[in-house]
Amino acid sequence: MAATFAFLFFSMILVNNYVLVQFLGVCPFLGVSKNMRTTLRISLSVTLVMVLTVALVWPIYTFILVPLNLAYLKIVLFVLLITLLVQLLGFLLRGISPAMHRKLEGYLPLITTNCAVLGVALLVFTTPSLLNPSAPYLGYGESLVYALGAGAGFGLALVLFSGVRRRLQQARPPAAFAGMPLTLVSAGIVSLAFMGFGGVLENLFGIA
Amino acid sequence: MAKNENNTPQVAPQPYLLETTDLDERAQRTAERQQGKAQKKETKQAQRVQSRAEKKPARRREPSKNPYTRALTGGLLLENPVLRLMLGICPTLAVTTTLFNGVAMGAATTIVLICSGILVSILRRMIPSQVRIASQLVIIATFATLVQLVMQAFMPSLADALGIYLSLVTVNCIILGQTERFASHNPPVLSALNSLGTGIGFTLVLALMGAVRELFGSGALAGIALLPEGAPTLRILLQPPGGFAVLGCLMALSVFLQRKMGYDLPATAMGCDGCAAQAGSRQQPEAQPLPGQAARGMAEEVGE
Repeated sequence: MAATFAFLFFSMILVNNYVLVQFLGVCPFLGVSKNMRTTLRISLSVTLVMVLTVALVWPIYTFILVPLNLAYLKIVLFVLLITLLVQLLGFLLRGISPAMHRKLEGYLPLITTNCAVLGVALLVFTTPSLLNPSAPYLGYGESLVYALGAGAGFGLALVLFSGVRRRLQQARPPAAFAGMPLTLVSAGIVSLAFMGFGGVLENLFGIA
Repeated sequence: MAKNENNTPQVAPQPYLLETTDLDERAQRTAERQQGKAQKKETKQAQRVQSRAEKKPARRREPSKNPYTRALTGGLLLENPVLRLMLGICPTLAVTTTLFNGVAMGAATTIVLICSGILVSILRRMIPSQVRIASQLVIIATFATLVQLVMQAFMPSLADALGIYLSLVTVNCIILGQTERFASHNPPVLSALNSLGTGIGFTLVLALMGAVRELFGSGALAGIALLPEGAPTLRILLQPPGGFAVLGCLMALSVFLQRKMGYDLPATAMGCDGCAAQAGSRQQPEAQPLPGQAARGMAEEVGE
């Protein structure tokens, strides 16, 4: 069980990386600053919201939407829940730790429209479970690990790329490539590096 | 010293034994030569610039002044949502492994874009500004669900191919940007036109991406094999790295085209973080004429 969880966590970071392989949350990835501290804060808030969203959405989907045959409402409901959750998280953070709130304040609203967060909430219910093959989708524990891994993978991609961005500042590309085009091409190279992880984890954790 | 200069030296001077005066002279000569070269270069450049200006006096072009024309055509190149505003990058990269998928995704997004644009525009005076983002999200999500259900009913294989990205039309920055920046300040007809223009621009980019990736990645176009059997294909284009690289090249091409056609380029780079920022409680004091300009302004605010 521990091996399954570890496998799920690391495969979300390396093999199924949300940004570089599944193209979820590319916008913050490309818009991210070269400042490492900002990058870390964004990744932290995204991971937090991802885990909380899945923690909230899983019971609602399993115990309310599916028994009532309302699964088709999931997009509308999830979008609303994420918006509410982000607002609530803002209020809570302000109450519990004003210093932390001040640091994350600017980034929390960005998460509402981050497709990685809605993506995690939707993908949890389409991913087959490893622990219980007869279940239609991931169990609660697996879902939380999945969300944590997705957030960590998002953070890793952002941190790695902020280093690449800093190097790109000194590059002198052709005029048409300056700025975003060059950034995209180098993102492709980083993504290429991540493709090398395919198949490594299965052997490492002994999972077929 | 003086004696040496008067008489011809018996031994030819070695280059490294040159006297100081010689060295100075040489340096001076080189400097002069270089200066002359630089001057020539400058005059040549000035001439070139002048001749170019003479040849094409009205080289700079301005976007159309008519709001309807501008709303409809702005999305094609100047305010293209993907290439110029950097919105909706995720679906652009993810579903464009074939031409057909790209066009289908573009069409689905365009339908949601137009419907939610019209509805938000009709309701723009009724929605309180505190909850406008949430209400717009619900409207968009409703239309996205509708499109998804219709596609699952009539084109199940296509719905499978687009997968999660069909649901994620909901959080596509293009649509929220459109409703927030344009539809909520403009009448329905103009809003519908602008949505249509943006949607066509988005679909064009997706189709182009899909065509390039499909043709060079699998040697076919729209499912019809074009390259001869056994021709080398770049499988990597069908995989994530290829998506990033092709979009980067396409974006460079759009910059190049825009320069060639004589349009001004915005000075700042745009990013999708600008679009996401509108989810925050930032108040919009005055109506923005076009989403492109709004996104640009926002990127300036948000960017470093």
